[in-house]
Amino acid sequence: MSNSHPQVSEQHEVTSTHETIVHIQDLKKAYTQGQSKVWALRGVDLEIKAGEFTAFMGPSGSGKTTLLNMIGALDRPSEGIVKINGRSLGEMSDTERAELRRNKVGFIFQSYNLLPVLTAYENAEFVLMVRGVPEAERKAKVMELLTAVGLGELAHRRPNELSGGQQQRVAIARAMAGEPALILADEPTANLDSQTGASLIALMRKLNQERGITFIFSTHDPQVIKAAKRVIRLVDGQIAADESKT
Amino acid sequence: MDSLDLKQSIKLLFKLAIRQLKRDKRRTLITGSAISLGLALFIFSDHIQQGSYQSLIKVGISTQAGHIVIQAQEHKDEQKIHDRQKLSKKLSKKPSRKLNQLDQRIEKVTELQMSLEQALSHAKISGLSLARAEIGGLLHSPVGGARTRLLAIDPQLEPKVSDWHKRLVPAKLPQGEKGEPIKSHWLKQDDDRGILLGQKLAERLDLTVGDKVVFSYSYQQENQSRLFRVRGVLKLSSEDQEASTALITLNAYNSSLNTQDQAQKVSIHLEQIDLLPQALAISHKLVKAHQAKQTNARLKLESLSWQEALPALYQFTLKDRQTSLAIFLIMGIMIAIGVLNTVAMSALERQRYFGVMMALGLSPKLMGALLVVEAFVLGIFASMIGLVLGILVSWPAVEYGLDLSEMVGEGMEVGGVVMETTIHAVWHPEGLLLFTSASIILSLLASLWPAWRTTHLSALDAMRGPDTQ
Repeated sequence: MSNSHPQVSEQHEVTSTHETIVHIQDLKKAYTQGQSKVWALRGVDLEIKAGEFTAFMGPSGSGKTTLLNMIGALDRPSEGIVKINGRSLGEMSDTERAELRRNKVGFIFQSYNLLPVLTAYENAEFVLMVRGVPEAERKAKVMELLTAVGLGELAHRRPNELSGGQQQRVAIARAMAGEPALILADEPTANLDSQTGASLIALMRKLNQERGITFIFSTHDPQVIKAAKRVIRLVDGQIAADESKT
Repeated sequence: MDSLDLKQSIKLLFKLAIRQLKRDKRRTLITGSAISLGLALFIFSDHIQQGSYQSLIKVGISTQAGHIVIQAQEHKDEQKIHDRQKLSKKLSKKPSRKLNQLDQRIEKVTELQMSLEQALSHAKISGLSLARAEIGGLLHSPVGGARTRLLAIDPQLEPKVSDWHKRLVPAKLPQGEKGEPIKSHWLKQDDDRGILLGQKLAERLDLTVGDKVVFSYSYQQENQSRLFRVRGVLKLSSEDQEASTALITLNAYNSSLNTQDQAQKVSIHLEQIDLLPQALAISHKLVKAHQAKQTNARLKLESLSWQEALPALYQFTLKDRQTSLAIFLIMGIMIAIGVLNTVAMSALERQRYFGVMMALGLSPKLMGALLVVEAFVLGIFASMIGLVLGILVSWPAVEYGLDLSEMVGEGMEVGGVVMETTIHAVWHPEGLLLFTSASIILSLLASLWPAWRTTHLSALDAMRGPDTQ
């Protein structure tokens, strides 16, 4: 499969060279609540190499989702630096950040966030359409991905006609469709039963291994933590532990 | 390829917009209905209005003027009913310059008519030239008298232009006499004693066909009178008109004044109204030449378009149209505000959905454009339905007319012209185009503010926002 996708080969190469895909330095983020400031991140330093399968864990309010949003160019830091593939997000305009999200980053959300007016096929196709990929190429790519996530037969169903697990599989296919260097998954198994969650983790791990895509999760799920190759524990907006598994 | 080109963007936006409109059926139906029904109402009102204007102008042109009118300058001043104060001031300063009604006569009318028709024919303009005159006075019968306006016409040519001849009705017998009403007859060309009376006038004077009647009038500072014989009775558009109008021939008019071949007005009735400017130029030229042939040095002739000859009617149609367009605009804005509210609510409800699209890399500009395209698609579909509905509801009014007799009684006078009680709407393609385009444009305008707001959303804030879908 990877032979038909040059970018996948390129990503394998990236994996093999262990290039830094995410570089974070003294990252701080404060939100204003009334007249007081609440610090969600209090100085995070972190490097993530291409091809990693990393989980952020920690209690609610520890800053996991905020950190993912910073890496995904959805939010701007109060202080510090976030670089993706060597480019600093702080220096990018809104349009450049939208381009980065379109071309380099895939998102998987806790509540799936599929577009309700589109079918499973069209949801997965959406990123490719926004990137202007020709229709024939889109079709081949999307059907391959939907088959890979086990939904080839349900491609023409709308989100409200799919189960939670099936919707999250569509979300994974959508995140994969643009062949991003990095997929950010915010509690992807939180709304699923343990069996469905386990199968999705296995699917994402397989895609990580076969295609060399970097996965970063925020999670409470022990199954995800068990599957992750690197676990970063956040407490009160700071990294309390960073453990890599062999 | 890193991003969408224009064609792909438009295709994507239309696809998403149509899906959204189909998905949100109730909102689409309510908003679409407001646009469609509003447009249908505008189209129907416009067709009726155009029909009433055309009817008024047609009646005014056929019975009072013509597309072009040649007359004495004083005559126009008298017609300016909206400018009476100014006129009275002017007259009070120079009373000696005022020609009375019977002195406003054009001489050698037949010669003028012939030269007009020849010149028009030479310029390949089809038209008919017609002479008319008017005398005010008292009509007496054995039972009493009534103030009457005698209209002098050419009985041969008049039926080609006006519908007086179609208004002849059988005349009732005088009070106390029994029998069938007597048939009315149209005037003959050389009949210098015949008179046609308005029905109310005939009833008031207790006259029927064949009766004698005396018309007295003031001419050359002397009271004069002339005997006429009733040839028929006319059913006219309003009671006022019926109670004060009678028709005689131009021959009778000239005999009454001891003149020959004179009239107060020469009108030109064109087959093609769009040739009016050319015809008017010809008329101006000929009138100047004809002026020199007049023996009355004080008579200044002028050539006027119907708009100048019937200023009150023309001003009425203009002002009424402006008022109607202002009302249409206000109603259109009200509908647009409804559409704006719907689009804004729809955008608010879909904030999270927009946030997700932005997270996936859709630019804020495209997000805003999506709302504009939704409003555009809705505007187009609803306007097309409104257009068809408008045509369908207008059709019976065009074919059969609207009977307003219960509303306006026997006829309402507008700008000096009596309106027909049955109004036939007329197809007005310009109105169809104007209102349909305005409907689409207002739908688009209504989406601009919600679209602008959407372009200023951040992906994260939008994803945290409300989403009821």
